[in-house]
Amino acid sequence: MKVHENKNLLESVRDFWNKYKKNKGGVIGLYSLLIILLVAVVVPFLPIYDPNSIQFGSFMPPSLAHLFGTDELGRDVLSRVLWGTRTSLSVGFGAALVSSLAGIILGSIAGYFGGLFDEVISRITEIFLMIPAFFLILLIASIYGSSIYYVILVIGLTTWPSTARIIRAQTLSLKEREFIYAQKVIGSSASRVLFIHLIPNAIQPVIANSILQVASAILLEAGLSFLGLGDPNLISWGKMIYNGSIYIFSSWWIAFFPGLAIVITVASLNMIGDALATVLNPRLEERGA
Amino acid sequence: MTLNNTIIETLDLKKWYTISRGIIRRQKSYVKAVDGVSIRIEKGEAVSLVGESGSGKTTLGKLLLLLEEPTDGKILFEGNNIIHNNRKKEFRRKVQMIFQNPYTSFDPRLNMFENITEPLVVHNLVNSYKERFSIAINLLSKVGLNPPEVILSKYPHQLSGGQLQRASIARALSLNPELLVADEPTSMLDASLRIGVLNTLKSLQKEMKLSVLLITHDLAAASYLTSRVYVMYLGKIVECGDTQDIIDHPLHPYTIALMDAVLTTKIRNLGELKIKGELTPNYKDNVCRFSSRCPYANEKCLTQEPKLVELEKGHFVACHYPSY
Amino acid sequence: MSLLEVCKVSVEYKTWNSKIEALNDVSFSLSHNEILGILGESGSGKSTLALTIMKALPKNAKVRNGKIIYKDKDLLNLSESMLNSIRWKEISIVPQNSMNSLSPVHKIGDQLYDILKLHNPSIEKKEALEIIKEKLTISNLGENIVDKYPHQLSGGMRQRVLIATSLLCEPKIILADEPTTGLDVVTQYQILKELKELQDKIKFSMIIISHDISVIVNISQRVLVMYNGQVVEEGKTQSILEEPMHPYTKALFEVQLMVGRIKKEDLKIVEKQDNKIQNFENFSGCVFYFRCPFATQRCKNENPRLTKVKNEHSVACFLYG
Repeated sequence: MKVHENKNLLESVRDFWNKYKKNKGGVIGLYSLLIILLVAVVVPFLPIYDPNSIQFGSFMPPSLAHLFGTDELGRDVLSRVLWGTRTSLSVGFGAALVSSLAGIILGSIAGYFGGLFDEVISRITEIFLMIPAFFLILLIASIYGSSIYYVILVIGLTTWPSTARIIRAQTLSLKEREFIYAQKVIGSSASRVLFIHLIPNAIQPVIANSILQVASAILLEAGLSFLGLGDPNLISWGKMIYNGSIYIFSSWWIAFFPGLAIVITVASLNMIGDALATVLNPRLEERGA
Repeated sequence: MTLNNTIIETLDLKKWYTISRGIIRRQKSYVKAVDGVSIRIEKGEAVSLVGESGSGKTTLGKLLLLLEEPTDGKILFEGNNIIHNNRKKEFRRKVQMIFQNPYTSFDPRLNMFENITEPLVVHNLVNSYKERFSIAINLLSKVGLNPPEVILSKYPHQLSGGQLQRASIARALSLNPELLVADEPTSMLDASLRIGVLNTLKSLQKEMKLSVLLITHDLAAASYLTSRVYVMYLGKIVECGDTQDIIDHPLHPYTIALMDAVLTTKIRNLGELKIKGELTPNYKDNVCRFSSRCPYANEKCLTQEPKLVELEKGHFVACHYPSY
Repeated sequence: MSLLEVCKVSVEYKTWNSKIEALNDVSFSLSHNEILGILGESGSGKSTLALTIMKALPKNAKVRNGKIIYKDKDLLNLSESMLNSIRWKEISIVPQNSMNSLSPVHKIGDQLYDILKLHNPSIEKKEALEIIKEKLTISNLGENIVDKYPHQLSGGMRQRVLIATSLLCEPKIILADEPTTGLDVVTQYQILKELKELQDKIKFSMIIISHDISVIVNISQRVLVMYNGQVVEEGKTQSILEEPMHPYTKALFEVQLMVGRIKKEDLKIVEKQDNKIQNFENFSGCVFYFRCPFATQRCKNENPRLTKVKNEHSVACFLYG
């Protein structure tokens, strides 16, 4: 019997959620990311110490007054970890956004137009895949300085090739579909076909990938800051670990708590990414009626 | 040949695909999907192009719609060569297509209203949402999709193949085209729904004085809908003429086999067809391409490629020994 | 005596918010050396029926009740290991889509060998190859096919490979699910002819499933017409051809196209699309009610049972008592 379900947007969201929630890791990751996002938004209003205030004693171990202790300058580690959420998330999401945009546009152009476009873009993609991103970022950061915008841009522009590859493959198979031919037949311009019909249909597999890129961008930023190349004006988990690493044997809490924050954030993002990949991949989906 | 009455015409149209083999010594060979085809469709005429898959009929359809670039030859639309012509936008409005697979013919993310009225938006033919909506309703009732308001709010995956194929016709009609190319419009539908779609096409063709090119492998459908038939085999036209003439008196052994193979509800002994094997694109130059499957092939067929000649008035065939 | 007996089988699919009845009280039997045709449009439950017999239903499907008796055993109650001794060896299937049914990266010979080995672990490679070549030959393919990959074959040849595959373990019953859908007329004709010849030569029973009435009547001895998960008509092919009874069957005959310019009236009955299908949830009437031109009040309230009208010809319609 033919199933004539009336799926509106609300119902397809519910449908999606029903599949998604079967993945335990994905649900845990989602809740923990939501909490982290909430923290990033409301941190100015939280009843915590000023993260830059140095009025407390240095190297105070975790106590009721300072749950995560204080660092070498006497700043409250808890409030610094909470404020660091903002930096990490903006770098993570910002870089993933830049990388996805670049990847989607270049990948779809390569796939749709083919020929010389494909040839050139594919070569560029391969070059970028070959360059170790981290060292390129190191180089740029040490030459041009280390504003957070540079960090976002540089991370974004070195991680787009994976997105571009996925989109290119999707485009190659979609452009042979009849509805794309139909668009040409009715006289749609190439940009209309590309941006209104092709990309929105090709974008699904990229979503999971982009979430994973958020995680890797957060790690990259932490790595940069750990090497002292992060934005000096911002509180960053990487920089906190860098500062605390000298005292790791005497005052472990200075490096430990920001480290834990990175682990939790990156793990949640990875769990979400994996769950999305499973749910969005039609081949893994159970076959219904 | 009266040009002013012809809507589209191809002159010695060719589409060869290159295949290169070998890494060090590149050898080039060609697949001659369409190899010197000249067809003509008059205004308001329904013509069919019949052949098996692999005969090149779909490629020819794509060439006619400028979805592929021909290797050689001309396509005249209303007397003007439209290859490398800057009047494409106008051409796009006048020539529309219905595809074989109704399930992939629509953007799955848009609802049927958006899908069907997309051509109007692309060509800036509507000013308001209200106008767009009333045109859509009108189109759907034309193709027999009821109730139109409900259909318009659905997404492609919520409709059946038959409904989608009608919607596909509606989308094509939204631009008031002069020529409609239908590529196997019923082959993916249940047998019970085929007649409905064909009937819709038939009545629209009469009503709107549309020219229709039906691409199909089913001579029964071709004879039901169209008044003239081109039979294609491995990139060449092997027989063409009035449908009635061809059915009453087919001349090419391939056409005879195609007719023989149509099953109906009249039970018969499934005997041997007068045609061997399957269509294979391996043939030498200067032979009759059908000779490998032809029961009557002899020396002449293997040394000389037959030309399309007019044997009876308006009835052409490319065979050395027609009408056995 | 019948070889396979399907008794009152009902199957439903579950989605997260609804249940859909795919088969409702379907019963029929298959005799030795018989070709039974099952005719129905997409959504009639004919493919579900094939999957139920092979016990290959997707996870969200549930057999609500019924029995499928083969050699005094109920297939629906057999353990997985028992089933494996029946699948392929006793009952095999020719699947619908020849492109997806073969692995694109393995040679035909290897794929067939794997299946043979799976059901016959002690077989020697040489002996296996003999069998494979023999089956390919009787399916009208050359022996050199064993070294080919699926993409090197035409649609018709792939379908023949699938037929050869189904013959590998010399089964008693072959289920052919739309074996010619998507093929050209010429190839369709050839495949059907070959299937019929094979059946005649090596004697097996066959269930052939199709939406195309012309395919069904030309190959089968008996026909089962399904609509919306139910059998609405059953009888000898000859008898159904002479006198189709159910309005649905009649309509299917009327919309047949022939070569030649035969005028066809637009057949509203088959045309009418099932927009109202959702109403079926709480609907107890005849499955064909919404499309039937002869529907009465009784048809709305009551579902007619399949009843014998004349010799070996049954119909589920109140027009026939």
